Amino acid sequence: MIQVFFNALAVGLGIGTLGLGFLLVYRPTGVFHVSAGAIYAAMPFLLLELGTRGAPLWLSLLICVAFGIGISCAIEFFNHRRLGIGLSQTSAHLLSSLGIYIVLTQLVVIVWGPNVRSLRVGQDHSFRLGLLVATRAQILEITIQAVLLLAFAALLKFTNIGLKLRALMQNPSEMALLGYSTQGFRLLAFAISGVFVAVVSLVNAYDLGFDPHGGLPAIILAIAAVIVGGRDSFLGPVAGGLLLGLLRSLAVWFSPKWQDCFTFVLLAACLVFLPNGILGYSRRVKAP
Amino acid sequence: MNFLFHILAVIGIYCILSWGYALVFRLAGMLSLAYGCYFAIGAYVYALGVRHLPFFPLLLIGVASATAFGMVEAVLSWRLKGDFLFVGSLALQAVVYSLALNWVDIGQPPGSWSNLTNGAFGLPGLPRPAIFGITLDTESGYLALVAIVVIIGFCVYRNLVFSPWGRIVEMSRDDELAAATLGKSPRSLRVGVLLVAAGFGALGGMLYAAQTGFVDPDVAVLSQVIAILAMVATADLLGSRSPVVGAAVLIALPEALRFARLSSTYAANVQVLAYGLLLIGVAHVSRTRSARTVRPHEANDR
Repeated sequence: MIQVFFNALAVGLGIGTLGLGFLLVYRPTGVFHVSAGAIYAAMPFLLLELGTRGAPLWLSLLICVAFGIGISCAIEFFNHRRLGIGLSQTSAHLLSSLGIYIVLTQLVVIVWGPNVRSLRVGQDHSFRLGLLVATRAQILEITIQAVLLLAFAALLKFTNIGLKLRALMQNPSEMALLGYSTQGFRLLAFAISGVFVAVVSLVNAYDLGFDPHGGLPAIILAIAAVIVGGRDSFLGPVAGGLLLGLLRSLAVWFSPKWQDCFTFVLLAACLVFLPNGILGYSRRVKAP
Repeated sequence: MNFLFHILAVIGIYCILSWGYALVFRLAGMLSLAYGCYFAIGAYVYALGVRHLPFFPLLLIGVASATAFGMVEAVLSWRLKGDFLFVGSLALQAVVYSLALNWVDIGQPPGSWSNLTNGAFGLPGLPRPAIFGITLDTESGYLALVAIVVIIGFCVYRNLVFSPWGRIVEMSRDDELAAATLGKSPRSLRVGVLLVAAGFGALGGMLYAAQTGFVDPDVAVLSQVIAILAMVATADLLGSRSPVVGAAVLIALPEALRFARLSSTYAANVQVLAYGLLLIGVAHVSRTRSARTVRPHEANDR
């Protein structure tokens, strides 16, 4: 059972971090940032490419994260900002985001091919601690994602930028009325989302391998974490991610092939019966 | 000539699928990706029943099965709208794909209860349908069947869109409060649209399975419904009321790429890339009215 919880932590933190990246964009902008799936798919290929061209690992990692930020900001600047702000635009944002995901993913396939690849050479080293067996990739995954989440929590709690990000998430209209540049902070939200997506993508690619079509499933899991956990606070996606991680780890013991099925049945059930998520606030539902 | 008949039949099948999806996306303004589920259900019903039942009863069973599954999406649409309906529909699509891929037991015969879909190996060797004792095993004969279904489908689609029901659905899409004020239930209208669209999807899926003679989990992949979405979006982009134009353009695209001597390795990717560009294009072109084209008479009213 300890092993199940450990595996759940490794998987769940990744889903939760991605969910946080998604929520960071969704709450203030209303944009379903599906195109983040393309960033998720492209980053490991870029790292591998830089590695084969002889770039040192630290530089390759920095370039990958910078690319993640750049693409995410470009998507906001050239697409979502031009589509306008407002509820009536949501379909247009979603449609264009899906379109960008498709275009970027196909470009990845054309440039780097459709095959499954791995960032790791050979079998991973594993450690035994009593009943628990942990691989090096899992320890790396948990450590990096936990540090990233803690750094983000510190940014939110102790810095002026964090305060403004929270304000943007709570009420972007009022923030604009107070004279702050919401467009600048929207861009910042997309940039931080890009960091989260790039880092989780690289860490997961090191553990499980990667392929060009892995982006959308990862983002759908992130959306599931946001919905299951609740979209009213930054803790929601992390809690949702951990719950999904546990469910998926338990599903592996039952039958690995039904992992996705269980996840999406839970997602659909949450959407219908618990639309505000486990950490969400109850609110009055608008009449149709 | 057979190749031309084959292409025309595929265009016809995608026309039927596009009309169904146009009801959901254009008429009711719902961005749902579960439409691929109805297509897949239709295809699998055909594959499982073609050797046991005549074509028309099978057609009815396929449409009824998809409509029954449509009730699941209807439950979602009862509670959800907009982006969250999109996520719910994506979850349904993933569940159906997972079922198609994993409902397999290699030791059992394909099509049996424990090996219903035969997983990734699919159900091959499907015969063409026989109508009144005549097996439509030539491309021209099969095209004739598709043409008849297309004509019936077009009449149904057109009558639905321009009926009082269609106009109420359109009004409900634009202003739910106004529809509710007039005593119409926007939720019931959305459910009605989804169930009708499920029928169109199943019909397309059955014809597709009969055309290709093979069904595997690829019929339930996301790219199928994205292709149909792109067809409806293309018609919007070109200012056409009917998605036929979109279906014709996007089915002809791979053939054009073949004639352009593009490497077959990349042709499929370029095709999907074009779908993506179309989606971006239609989102930007129609951004003023929530991802749909403003019709000329509506523009004059403003």
